[in-house]
Amino acid sequence: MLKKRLILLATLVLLAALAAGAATAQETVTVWAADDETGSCWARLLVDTFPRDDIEIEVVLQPGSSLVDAQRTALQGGAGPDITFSHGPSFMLELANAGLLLSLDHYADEYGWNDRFAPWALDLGRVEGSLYSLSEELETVILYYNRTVFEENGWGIPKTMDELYALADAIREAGLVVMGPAFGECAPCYEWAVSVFLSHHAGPDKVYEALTGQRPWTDPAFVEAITALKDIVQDGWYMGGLDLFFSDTFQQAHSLFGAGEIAMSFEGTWMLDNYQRDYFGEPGGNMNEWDWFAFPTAFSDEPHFIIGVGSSWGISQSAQNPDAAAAVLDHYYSTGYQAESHGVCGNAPAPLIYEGDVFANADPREARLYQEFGQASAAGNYGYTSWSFWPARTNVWLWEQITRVYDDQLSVEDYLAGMQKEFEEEFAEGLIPPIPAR
Amino acid sequence: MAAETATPFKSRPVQAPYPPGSKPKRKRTWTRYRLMRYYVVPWLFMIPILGLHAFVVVIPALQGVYYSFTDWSGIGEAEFIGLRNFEELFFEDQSYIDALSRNVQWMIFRVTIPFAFALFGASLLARVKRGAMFYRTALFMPFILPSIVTATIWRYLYNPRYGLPTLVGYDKALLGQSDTALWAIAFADNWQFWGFLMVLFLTAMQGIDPVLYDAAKVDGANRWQEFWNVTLPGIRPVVLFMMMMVMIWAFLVFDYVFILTGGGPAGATEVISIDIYKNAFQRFEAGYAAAQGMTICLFAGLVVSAFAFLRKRGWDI
Repeated sequence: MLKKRLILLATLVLLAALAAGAATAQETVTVWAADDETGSCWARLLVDTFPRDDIEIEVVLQPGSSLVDAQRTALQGGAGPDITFSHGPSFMLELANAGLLLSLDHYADEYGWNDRFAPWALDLGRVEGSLYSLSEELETVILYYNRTVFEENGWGIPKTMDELYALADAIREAGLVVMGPAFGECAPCYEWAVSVFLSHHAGPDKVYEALTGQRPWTDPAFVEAITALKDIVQDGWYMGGLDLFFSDTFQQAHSLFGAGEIAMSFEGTWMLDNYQRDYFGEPGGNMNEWDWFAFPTAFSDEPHFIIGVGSSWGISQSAQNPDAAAAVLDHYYSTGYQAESHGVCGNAPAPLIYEGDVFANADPREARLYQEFGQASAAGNYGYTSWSFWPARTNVWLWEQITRVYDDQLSVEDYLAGMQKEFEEEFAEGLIPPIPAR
Repeated sequence: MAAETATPFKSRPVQAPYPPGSKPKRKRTWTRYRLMRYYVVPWLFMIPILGLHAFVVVIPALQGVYYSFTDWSGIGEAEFIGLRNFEELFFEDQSYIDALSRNVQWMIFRVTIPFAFALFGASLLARVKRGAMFYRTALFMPFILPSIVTATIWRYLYNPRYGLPTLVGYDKALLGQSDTALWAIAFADNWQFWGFLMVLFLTAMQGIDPVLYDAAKVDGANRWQEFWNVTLPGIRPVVLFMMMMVMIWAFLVFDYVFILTGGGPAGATEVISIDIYKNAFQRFEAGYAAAQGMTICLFAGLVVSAFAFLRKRGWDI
């Protein structure tokens, strides 16, 4: 009898131990982040705010600037993180076509992502109708201006391209440089101005038609747009001269902008946080203030914006715990996390549909941007960023060869003919990222 | 004694370590022992490094050769396309030809300016007795600095607002103009590299028999004649070997260009390795990039072959 009781007791103890073990067993999800201030900030925040105890997020901080390249190589070798990260839709399209990403369709249904994201943003992650990646970091390019300098000189905000040209003349008459930044450290950054000029000069409808194969890039409207861009660059709008535009660093350009020697900065919304933190007021060693306005268009006085995303996330085909990875993504793309990440780490928010006063603590200039951006998007006043909507090879042509146009080594017509050639090849190969219908 | 060590089978007398009556068996054992000791065991010791070499160098290299004949994007499956990549490379891709010409310009710079600096510096330092180590260390120091540090220093030195150009009243950015950028980068690279060459040449100079200098002096040779007729012939093997290496390295240049200009402005500093990087990681044309990499091997092979040919012709290399 005693023996039976002992056996029963031992069995109960064993079962209890197993149950306890099962209760504490965690599924691990690996995420790679850049080993810098921003990367470690959002990753730490993700781990700290993730609400589930049964999932452990393992963050691997990768040194160097080639996080995406390193991850791509690892994925090809059957390794890499469970949650994959890349520069944007065209890069994720390559991974999806290679069978390295998991379809997210049933997770989208399970977690309600179809209602949470802005429709155009969710469409960017689709390949042949299936969702493979989620976009993050809502991006556009705007004109920041040194408000103090503008007020001192009595300059107003231009609403049309003509007014912008008049303003540039006034700025140069005052002995200042029209705008920055310089791209000595960032060759792909030449795409910003090309994207804006194609959409704001030729018009977003024409760009849409070109991206969907209905209009060639050699169209006269695009020739005019690129010629207009070439003229202002050669005229020294950027940094006061082509040599400085080609070689100066971001830090030099932003410092001069903060100090009031450069009147405007044609930059992305990723600088919203940085200008106040590093270059204006006390941190910048000056008493200046900044603000922003939408880059004017050649056809309307209403604000227009090019839309884009900074990067995309997906789940690796080789992920050990894909359900757990989807749960982590669900948390990452919650409005609460995005608002906190924006407030704490200065990250641009993901293109979700935000309701209520989620960004109550945001800088009013930033709040105005998201408000105007939302209104413009709703009214169809949006164009396209090349890094989100152009296929990879065509996009490399776009930013690489435009410098030869600026340097008079390549004509505008040949530049666009080359772009058309690359685009036709990629169009035939089915490598165009999804273009949301207008 | 040395010969004995080098050829143990022939020179070492084989004594009879076996008792009478068991000779055949013992002989077989001894043969197996010798085989094991001189043919098998050394290879056993080599296996780890050979295995590592196979995994790290041989297999990836062979994969690189294979991918150069495919349209591989860098991920997923690769499709064999024969010689199409090489056809495009040599007959259609003007940017590759331009990049190759920049590599050749870089090579010409590298085998002239740093060599001249290093030979001049080494011949001066060879006579310095007091503080010699300080000078050598100071001049060698840039070589051990990471490229990112050196390149950043030079970026600021080249700045037309407050850098070296302001000293001569030049207000243009050397790195921002198509006709000056490549040479500006090459000079920054030279600043880091010539100290290394100088130390090598200095070491070689110290191996020259001092009697030769005494004889030259007796013959009335001046400093230049001493250098030309004694020093240079004395260090010629080192100079030529380094020239060969520098010519090979000229096709691999990447870091300074990538950091300082990224291939710009307007493609003026785009060398082959930058083109390879763009094709592999930005245009998703890894197969094409592999073909470009193969051509670098080809050029390196040509350089080595040229030097081997000269050696056969009696050059002291």
